[in-house]
Amino acid sequence: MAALLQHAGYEEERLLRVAQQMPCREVQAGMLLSLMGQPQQYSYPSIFIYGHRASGKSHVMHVLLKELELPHATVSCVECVSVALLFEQVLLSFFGCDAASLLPRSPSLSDFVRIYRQQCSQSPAKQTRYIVMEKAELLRDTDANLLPALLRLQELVEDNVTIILLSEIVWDKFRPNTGCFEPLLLHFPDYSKGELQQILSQDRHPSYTAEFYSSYINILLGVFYSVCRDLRELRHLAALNFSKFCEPLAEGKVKETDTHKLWRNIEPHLKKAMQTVYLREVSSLQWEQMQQMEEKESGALRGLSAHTHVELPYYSKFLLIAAYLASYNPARTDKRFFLKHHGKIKKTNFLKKNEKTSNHLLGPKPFPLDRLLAIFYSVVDNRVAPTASIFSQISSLVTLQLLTQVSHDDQLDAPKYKCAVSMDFICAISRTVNFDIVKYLYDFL
Amino acid sequence: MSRAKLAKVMSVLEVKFIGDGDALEHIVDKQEGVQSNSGSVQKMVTFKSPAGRRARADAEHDGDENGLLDEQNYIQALGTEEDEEGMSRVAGSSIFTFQKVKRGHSMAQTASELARTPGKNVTFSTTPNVEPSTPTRTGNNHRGESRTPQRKKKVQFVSTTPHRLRKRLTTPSIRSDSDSELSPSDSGEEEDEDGVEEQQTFKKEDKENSKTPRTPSKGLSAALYKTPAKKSKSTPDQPSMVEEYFEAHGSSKVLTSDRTLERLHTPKLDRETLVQLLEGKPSCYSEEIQQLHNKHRKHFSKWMLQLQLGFSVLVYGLGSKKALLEDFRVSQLGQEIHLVVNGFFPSITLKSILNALTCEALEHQGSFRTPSDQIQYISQTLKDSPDLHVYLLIHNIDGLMLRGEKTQSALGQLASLPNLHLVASLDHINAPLVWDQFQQSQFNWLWWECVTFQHYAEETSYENSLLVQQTGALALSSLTHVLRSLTPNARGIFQLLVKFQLENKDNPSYTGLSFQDFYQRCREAFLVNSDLTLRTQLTEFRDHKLIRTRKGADGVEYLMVAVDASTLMDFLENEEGD
Repeated sequence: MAALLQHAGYEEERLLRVAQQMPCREVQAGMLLSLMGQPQQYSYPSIFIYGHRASGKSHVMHVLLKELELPHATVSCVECVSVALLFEQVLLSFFGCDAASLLPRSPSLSDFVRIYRQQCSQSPAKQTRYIVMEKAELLRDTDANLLPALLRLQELVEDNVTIILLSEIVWDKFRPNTGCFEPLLLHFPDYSKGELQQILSQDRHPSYTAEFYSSYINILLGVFYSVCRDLRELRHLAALNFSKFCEPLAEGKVKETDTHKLWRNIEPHLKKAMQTVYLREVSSLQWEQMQQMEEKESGALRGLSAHTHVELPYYSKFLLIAAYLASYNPARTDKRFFLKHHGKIKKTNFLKKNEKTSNHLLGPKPFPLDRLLAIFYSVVDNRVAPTASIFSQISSLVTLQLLTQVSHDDQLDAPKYKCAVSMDFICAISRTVNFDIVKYLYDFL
Repeated sequence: MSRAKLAKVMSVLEVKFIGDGDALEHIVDKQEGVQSNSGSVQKMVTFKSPAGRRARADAEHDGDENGLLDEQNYIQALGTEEDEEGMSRVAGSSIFTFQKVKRGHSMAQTASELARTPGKNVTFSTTPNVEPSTPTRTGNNHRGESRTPQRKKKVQFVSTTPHRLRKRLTTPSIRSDSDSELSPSDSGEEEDEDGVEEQQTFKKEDKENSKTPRTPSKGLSAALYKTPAKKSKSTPDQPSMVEEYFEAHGSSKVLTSDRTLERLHTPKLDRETLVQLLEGKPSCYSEEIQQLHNKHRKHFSKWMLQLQLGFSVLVYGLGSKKALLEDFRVSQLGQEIHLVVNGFFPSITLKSILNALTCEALEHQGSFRTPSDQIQYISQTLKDSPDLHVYLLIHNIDGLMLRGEKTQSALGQLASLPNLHLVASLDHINAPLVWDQFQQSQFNWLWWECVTFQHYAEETSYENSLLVQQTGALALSSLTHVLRSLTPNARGIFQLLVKFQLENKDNPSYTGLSFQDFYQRCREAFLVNSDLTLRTQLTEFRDHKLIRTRKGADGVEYLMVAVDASTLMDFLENEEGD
């Protein structure tokens, strides 16, 4: 295992320690180590590491740099909302506070390069310096010149420095229009099921045997592997449900080796967890509390998504209903639904094949304000004056994101809206005002 | 200033009446049961608020003895009275009908030298002729005759069934709407007679209608598609407006006409000639308008009290409220620090309002980085000196440039300050859409209905009209207005040109962007795919007078935006803000 990490520049036991800390990533780590070379050697100017979420990119980089005690700066591009923060962090970790304070108020790239060169002439690099940029995809949104400059930083500052970019996105999406210095690409593949099993089994509970925990992980992966391969998510779920798994054991009903009974006990529980905790309907804390309380069924607690009921004023409800009707009914059919004496409309003409059933699949369509008001007046029971309050309720619905305004061109002359609520929501609303909305929907005719 | 006021009093009669017609269309069915016994002038006042009702009651005491008139009669009465006074007028029928082209035409004629020929003059021949005046007179006579029986009939209706009356009031407008759509716009005489005949036939038909829909409605109600509970409750006249809407929008057919104003070959007037032509027309109700104005004046002290109590005063209603607010300013705010904002001004921005507040009212030197900093400073200054009261007077708070979300929320923040008082007027029919509940709570409006019937002389003077020649450069609002109707690509092309021009604004020898160069830039930005598309696009810009082209010395076309740099800068800022 550790044989893959053979390297001339570093001591044996250090490498061994490194290898222990990153199971199933020996190949990648060995590749990285050989790229980095010996500490005093010049390394490749920029390395681009990509792979799916939770495939150990940051972890491997962190362990390598930490254990081998290499000078490095780890920068998260999420934190660095401005380039100034980025520059400051790099200078801070390489040269200390004095260097960072030299930066002007809003530094440009050339300021950074100038100060870097000035500092590194005072303290030349004995080892390769590494700048690790996490979530590097955000670099694309900064100034256009930043990414190409970082890729050539070794050349610009004339120092032994290597940039390592970590991202979940492939390099092709990074390449600037004008081209740039191509970094070395390194891919971190996903963990296989066996690897996941191996990694997850490592953090076993001390009071139980390793085989017992491993069989638990096996069951867990059997349930969750089809929907989730994210190591962090699986680890979280494993920790969360383990106490439930051990429950029959603590009660003395089964033995540790009786896997089948344990499996039967935990399996429905895990399925429920998939529908609730995994989707964050129920928080982890609530889930743990539910496990404490025996009598309470874990489905009894209403999740976040069950709280779709919103209290609205009377006319707002009708406005929302009217908006929903306007969004999901073709304007052609308005006469049929809202006109008393619409004359003869043949059903065969009225129902067009291609239009049928597609309205709810295609999503809401925009409608003008006057159509909204016309439908509103026709669905609401009593006479409503078009007061300022009605109008401001429309804009309030927009503010509440129950409606959305399409095209911000014209706020007053002919504003267009879309209805942004779901079928269930509008059905609940119309039930409260005794309005049968399904009768008015073209799709359900 | 005083000259402008004078012009306002004497200005465009046509403009006003068409506005009334539109407003009536909206309002008719909302005035429940009150329209039957109201005087002719006050007819327009009857909107919905108790304030308006009070005002009308007052007015009746003032001795308006016109008797009972319904909507139709009122319009007709107006038409004939004006005719008698020798003013060419839009008659009742044309208020109800929807005939844009015709109206525009008659306006053009009115504004031209024919303006003073008496009688209703709706000829559509391009050459001005005086002939039709005779037939139209007879038409007018007809109308005069038809008026008396109607009035009799109407009295009957009022006494018996107000519901039926309301029905009657709304149905003619449907009818005439559809009629005008069907009839191709032809000679004025026919039209005129049609109108009279129509009106007479309405009376008969309506009488029948008022009965006929009743009988089937009972039988139908069970078979109707709506939920039965709903049906039985709904009032008979509310749906009629709604039904009207659905009828009108029922078919997806779009009727367009190639009869554009261009085909008239009438030269466009410039602004001065128009004003000059219209100057000689005194308003026939100037006395009543003055009375109304005086009535509104009585509330000034109340407004002041309410402002002190933390409310903001919002003035709405028909007619220009500028004179009223100006009067308020002069009489009440003479001793106070106040700032007047002309929201209708096409190049007004939030920045200019805030700058005026900080520089002029609070006497602060220096600049601010963002508007929110500036508001922060204003609120801090006002908080520090509670004795300082600043009055903000906004004409047309719903003006084209003040409608934006950002501007309104900034104004709302200002209005919520305890010692900054806001008085504003509003004109757009959808204006309340601008504020949601939160902003309304910030503004804390008190809505005052102030119907003035005064002409929007100053407010409309900045607007583009098809009939009036544009003078000078485009204003910011018209620039945005034109560009908003264009495709995103076209906007991108224009922005490219604007940016290039702004980059070169300090260069005096800059003559514009050559077409080839422009084409290259547009291609790089993926805005056009061939120079032909760009040419078409440029033609469109040229039609809207957005750009100017000039042939250079080397025979190359150079493109320029004919708008000054500061407007362009504001424009770019606005576009990016959106």
